[in-house]
Amino acid sequence: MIKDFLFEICSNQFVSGFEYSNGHILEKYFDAFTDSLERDKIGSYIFKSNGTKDTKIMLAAHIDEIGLMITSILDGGFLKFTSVGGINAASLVAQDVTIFGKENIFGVIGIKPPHLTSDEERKKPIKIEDLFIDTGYSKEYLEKIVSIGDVAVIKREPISLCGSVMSAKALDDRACVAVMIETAKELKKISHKSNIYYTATAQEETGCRGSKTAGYKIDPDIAIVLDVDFGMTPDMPPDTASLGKGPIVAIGGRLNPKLTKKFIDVCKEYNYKIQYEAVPAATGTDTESLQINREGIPCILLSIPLRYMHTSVETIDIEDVKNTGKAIARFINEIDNSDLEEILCF
Amino acid sequence: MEFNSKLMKDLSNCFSPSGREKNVREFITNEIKDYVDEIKVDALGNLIARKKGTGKKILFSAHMDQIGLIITHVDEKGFLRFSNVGGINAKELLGFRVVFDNGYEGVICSEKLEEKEKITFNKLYIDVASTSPDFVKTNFQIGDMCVFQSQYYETEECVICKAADDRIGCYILIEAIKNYSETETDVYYVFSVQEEVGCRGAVTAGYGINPDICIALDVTATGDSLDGIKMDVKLDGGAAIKLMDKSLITHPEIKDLLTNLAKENNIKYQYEVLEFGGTDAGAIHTTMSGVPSGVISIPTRNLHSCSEIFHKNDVLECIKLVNAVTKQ
Repeated sequence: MIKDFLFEICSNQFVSGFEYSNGHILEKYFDAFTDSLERDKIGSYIFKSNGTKDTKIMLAAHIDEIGLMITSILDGGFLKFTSVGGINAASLVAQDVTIFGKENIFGVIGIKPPHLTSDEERKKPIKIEDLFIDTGYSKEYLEKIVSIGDVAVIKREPISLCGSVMSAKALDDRACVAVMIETAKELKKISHKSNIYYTATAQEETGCRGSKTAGYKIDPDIAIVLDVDFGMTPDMPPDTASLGKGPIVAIGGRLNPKLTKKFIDVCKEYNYKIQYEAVPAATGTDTESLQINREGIPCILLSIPLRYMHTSVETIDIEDVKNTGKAIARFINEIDNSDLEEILCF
Repeated sequence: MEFNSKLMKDLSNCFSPSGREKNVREFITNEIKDYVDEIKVDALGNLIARKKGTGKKILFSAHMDQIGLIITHVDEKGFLRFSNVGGINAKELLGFRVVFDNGYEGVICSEKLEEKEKITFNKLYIDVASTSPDFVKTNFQIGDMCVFQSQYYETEECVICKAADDRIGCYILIEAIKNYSETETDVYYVFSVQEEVGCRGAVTAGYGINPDICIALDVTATGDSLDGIKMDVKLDGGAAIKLMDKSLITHPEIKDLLTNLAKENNIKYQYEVLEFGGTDAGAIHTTMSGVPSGVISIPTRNLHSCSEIFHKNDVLECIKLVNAVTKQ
């Protein structure tokens, strides 16, 4: 089921600020394990599973993805664009895109032939402002179906690689939305006492905005933030985490040390594989806005190792997703049966 | 509606860099106090006027502050060292005239430079035209602020002035208040402080009001001159409906609301995607559990210079759009 979900959700767009259009896919998968759905006013989806006591636990994984936004329609059917979120222009060259105008149309992002590219030009990094989308349509027709501000995404179907490894666009951070589904499924089996809020946050890629408003709305006692982190490839530093070795537990100033330790202890006790990373300051995740929401929310941050971040070939191991989901369910079960105030007390 | 040149000139000439908004706040208070149901100043200095209603709560925001410079050191010879208040490029400052709240003026000069391109704030100083270090030390202290000095100028079409960012937004809200027609909407007109240093006033005003929707009024860049900025917005293209900048992705409902109102009321409009910068709406839209927000922008050339240029027709379209939002 996790794989089905990932294949379906990664084939659809949730560009930051445009998360409203494909919510039915989330509902389809969360419905069986949760009791209600609410939205914050920015666009985050909050699936709640009712508990028997007052404690509120928020899980946060962002549903939004980086994308492109049309800035100008040129003669000859070409479209100029800018990025929504951080994109390396080099990763856009020779890609297909889907443009979400009044109707969905396809386009390609090309580049000048090598024959005509001077040595000097080749040495320069490609910039987004140098690129354009070719749709094949006339300007007159395009103006009827596309307007400035419409978004586009790279068109790429998810693929299975060896074993449980898969590649797709937007696995940052849908891999972690899948983690929440796995946790919800587990908790449905073993039941839970706390109220659990599975939050698919909006606009993380443009500045952790949806988690700020969803966090305010939920007002949780603790938050478990889920995001992706760099996975090992031959060009990465030696201390990079590996695929298939479990979630990366972040340790640092943004995270609550006692809650983090509790998670590590639970994983050790129940033999869940984990990896570690030191994050001295900013994490670049929803913890940025959640930690300082209202009077402060104790957070832990777990990351799924992922290769080629912010490209259309993001690669993960689905086993990491499943194991992380199960470990979180076990962790919540332990929290349910202990004194949370005592855990959080410094 | 005629363009009120005197009002714009007076607004532009108010000395009010970020954190020192007193002059412009007093000026705006006098302009609008007889037209609104409630008027107050919050703890950070935002001026908040209200036309009461029983319906939806709408917050309009235009910032009162302007970019400026702050004195960091007065040297032995009577020259002033300074830093920036808000986004100012040191490379563009040489030769600019500045004016202080006490009316004294100065000019920005530079130490001898081998390469003009490498100019930084620590190479620049203000010469206040005095040969007496004692006079300078008596009249200028660390922490004093100054703003660019330039003459207000107007043609049939356009205005050249300083601090159009965002006194033109203030102008639009003042005119919208004066031309308000009765509605159930509960309207808050916020004249905010400290936008130029990080939308700080908007954060507290947004929290204090917690509106149903928010529309900011602020300037935006244009792609119609030779300065190299590439975008579709142009002077005399109408009110610019912002769709994205670095602080905000306009809520789809607000995009539709503004677009439909412009169409229904024959208001000239254009869409805007700005690849840099932000506005008060960026700060307000993540207030509490979120506020659907957008921006009505005034296309402006030479942003953050002493001579910003905007078109009077665009301003009139913006006023119409603000009042269309109020009425719906």
